[in-house]
Amino acid sequence: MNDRYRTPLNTIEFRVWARYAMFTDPLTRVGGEKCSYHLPTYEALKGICKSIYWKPTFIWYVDQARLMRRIRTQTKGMKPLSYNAPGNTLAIYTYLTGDARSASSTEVTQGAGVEYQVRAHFEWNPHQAALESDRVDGKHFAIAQRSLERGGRQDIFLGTRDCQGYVGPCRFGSDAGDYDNDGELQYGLMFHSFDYPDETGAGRLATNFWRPRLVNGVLTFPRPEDDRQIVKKDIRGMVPKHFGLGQNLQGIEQEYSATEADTSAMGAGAQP
Amino acid sequence: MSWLQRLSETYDACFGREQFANHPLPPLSSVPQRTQLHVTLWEGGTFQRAEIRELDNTTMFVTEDSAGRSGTKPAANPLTDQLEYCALGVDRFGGDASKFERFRTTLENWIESGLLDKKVKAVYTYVTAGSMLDDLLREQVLLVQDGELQKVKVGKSKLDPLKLWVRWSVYTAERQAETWSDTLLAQCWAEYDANLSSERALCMMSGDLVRTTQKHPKRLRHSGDSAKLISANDNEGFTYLGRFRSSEEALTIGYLNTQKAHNALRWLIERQGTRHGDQVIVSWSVCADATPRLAFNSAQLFTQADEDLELENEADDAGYQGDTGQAFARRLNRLIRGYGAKLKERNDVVTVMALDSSTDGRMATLYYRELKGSEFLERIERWHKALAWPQNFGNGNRFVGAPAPRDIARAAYARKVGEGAKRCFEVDDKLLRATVNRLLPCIVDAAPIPRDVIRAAVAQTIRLGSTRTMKPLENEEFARSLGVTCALIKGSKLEEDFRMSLQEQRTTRAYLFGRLLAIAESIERTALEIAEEKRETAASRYMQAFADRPFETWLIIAKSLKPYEARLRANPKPWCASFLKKRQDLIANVGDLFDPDEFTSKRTRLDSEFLLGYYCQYVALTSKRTRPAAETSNDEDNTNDKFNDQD
Repeated sequence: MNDRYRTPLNTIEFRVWARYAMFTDPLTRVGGEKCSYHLPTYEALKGICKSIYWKPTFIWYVDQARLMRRIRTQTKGMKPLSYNAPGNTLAIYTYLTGDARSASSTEVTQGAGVEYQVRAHFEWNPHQAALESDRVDGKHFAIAQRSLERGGRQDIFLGTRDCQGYVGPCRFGSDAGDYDNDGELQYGLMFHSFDYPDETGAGRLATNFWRPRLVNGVLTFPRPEDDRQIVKKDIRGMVPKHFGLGQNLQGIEQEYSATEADTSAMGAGAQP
Repeated sequence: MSWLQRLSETYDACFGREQFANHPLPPLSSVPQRTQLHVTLWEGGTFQRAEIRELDNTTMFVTEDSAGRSGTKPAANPLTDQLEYCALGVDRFGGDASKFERFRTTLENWIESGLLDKKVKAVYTYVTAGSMLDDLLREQVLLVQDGELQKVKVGKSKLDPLKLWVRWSVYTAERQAETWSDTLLAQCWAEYDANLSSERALCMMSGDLVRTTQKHPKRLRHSGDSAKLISANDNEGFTYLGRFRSSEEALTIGYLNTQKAHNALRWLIERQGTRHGDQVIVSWSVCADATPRLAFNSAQLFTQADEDLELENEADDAGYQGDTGQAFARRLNRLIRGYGAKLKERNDVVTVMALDSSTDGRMATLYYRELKGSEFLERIERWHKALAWPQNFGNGNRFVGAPAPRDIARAAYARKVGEGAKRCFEVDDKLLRATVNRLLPCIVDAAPIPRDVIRAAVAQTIRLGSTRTMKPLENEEFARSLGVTCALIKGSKLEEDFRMSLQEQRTTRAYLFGRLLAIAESIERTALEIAEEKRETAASRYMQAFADRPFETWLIIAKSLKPYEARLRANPKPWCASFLKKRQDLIANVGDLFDPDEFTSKRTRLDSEFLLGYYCQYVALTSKRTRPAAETSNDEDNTNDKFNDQD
């Protein structure tokens, strides 16, 4: 891709892939039947970034996502457990998957599944005043990159926990994707993200919606505060979680030196 | 997702349009209801007459509460409702008197909001006068015995009189008498009902601040359907509770939007949906232009196109075997161009949806795609061209074309069920729905056909072929399966470029072996018919073994043919000897085409391609036109042609 996009500070670019994804549509979900959106949600990708590396000191912002595989869906009949009654109910879940990559009609080089390239960056969380001393330039970013090379600190999943995925570093825009020449596609109102009080400072939980535009396979996400593109629905009041250095949070200096020690212990032959 | 939006747009585009006058979109704030009691009044509100006559799909006005009413204090519908609600004083026959009060209040509120319609006022006057029960008893529409109301006979069943649904007609100087088919009245009601609440919240579908609702319509697939697409009623479990504390927090959709969308969906399903049990597949363009139905086989597609597009029936000259493919392609092209012309005018988007329910009360969207109109037609064309093959579905139902997903499921998974006279081949319902669901992306997304379906169809066909008897049930099923399976094989191996007619230059091992089997069967069958023995050929019984170990089985078949060849040679009729010679020459020719190593190899079982060779050779041998007229005589062509009867 030839865009001269100037990326903000602390940007990471990674590819995430999985057999299935479930970006649940809230419309049918309240009935118990899950159907996936065809596009990833901001919240799901932000969650993947957080699984790679996260501290309450900063907030991840997902800038762009690129679809690499042609969208397919697959329906599975499920027997989810009932919470109150014994036994289970029946439900139909429609997962998102993608075209397999094959060299010929009989050979499959890469199995069916979703694959995205994501570009995201983090900024300091202004509402966590107690963690001001934790905002050290460079060190958080270094750990984030290192975690990305190792596949993330926590498990990666696309939407719901049963859609296990993997991450790896990449250069955003490299390789050919299935939607590269498809022009522009406009979608209806879709879920974007949640506004949690610890990141907005407002003491309320809110849901954000937006109208995605898929341009040549690339989704450009608005920030959650962007009034022009985001439709906000206020839900209820919520108390933000309290983080304190040394209380329930390991500060960056400790984190960084621990990581340094690990890397040198593993030696030069450490594989990402 | 966008499907709700799309349906809402479809409703707006199609409501009240002339071209749908035969089957109009239902108005908002109303549901279809089967009503039994028809009461006619004069303009002043006096009783004229009443009759018991059932009418399905009466338009019944509803409020948000009364649409899905239940519980101890169910809300009343404004106009059409059960007798228990409409009549004063039902408590003397054991009914609930409070229902009438709610009914009266609802009606009163509507009239006081500035309604001008005289019919509704007449109904109100009559109902408040309270003489309804007496009038019905006097007219002997209802009968009393020992102080209790008798059950009323409607059609074949007897219904509780208090539960009868009432519809009203009022004779006035204006317009028509019937309240339920009056579209202006329906509109009045819809407007009044829309303004009944002034609370505003964000609609998660459109993004506007509108009146929202938590109750969404049901009765989508048929009037007794209790499954809802959107339902939020789990207040104890964690379907949506957790982060959210109530269903309003989880989901809010506009009152009008959800009605529009669900009404449109119900209308589309009735109009152009394909149903397999509980599953529904529906495809539509936003302006509801005619589109070819996804789940049809080619014959059904052509019939539907003739209606939709009003094409003149070109004289279908079946012509030579080689021409059937071309005739089919021509007809398909005309069809696609015809549909394309309509869609292109509007640059429409075609939406495909499949719905199914796993439990009562809930429906899920199994499949959802939006395509440009041209892309949709292109995919349909591609599917039908790729899988075109001569089909024989029994009872004279023959056509050249692609099988429907349902037909494919049957070819792959049907089993014999039933006993005696009711024996037939059927697919298990759940398996049918699952297979149809798997095949949808093959049509719409041009995805490759799942290999296990093809494998199952091939195995089934070979099994049916090997266990053939002279009974029509198995024979027909084999013929049907063979056509569908050949279509599948052809469609999944497009690069091999299989033709519907015999390809004499084709030298693939499986194809040639299939040809050999067909020739052997032909020799044996002719010999059996001359001797008037009514049994299946031994060669056909070897089909399964032949598919697994062709070379060894061919030796056995060749040996078992010897007595039949002897019979033909010894037969005094002149054509027998020449017939035999021709067949033997053909065997030799086919044998020459083989690669000697491939012929004798004991390694691998035959590719599914062998069915194509078998079919093509069989048709070539039994079709009249492949032999020059001078050499044929009546006897020779009397062979029992199972695949290609000349009717």
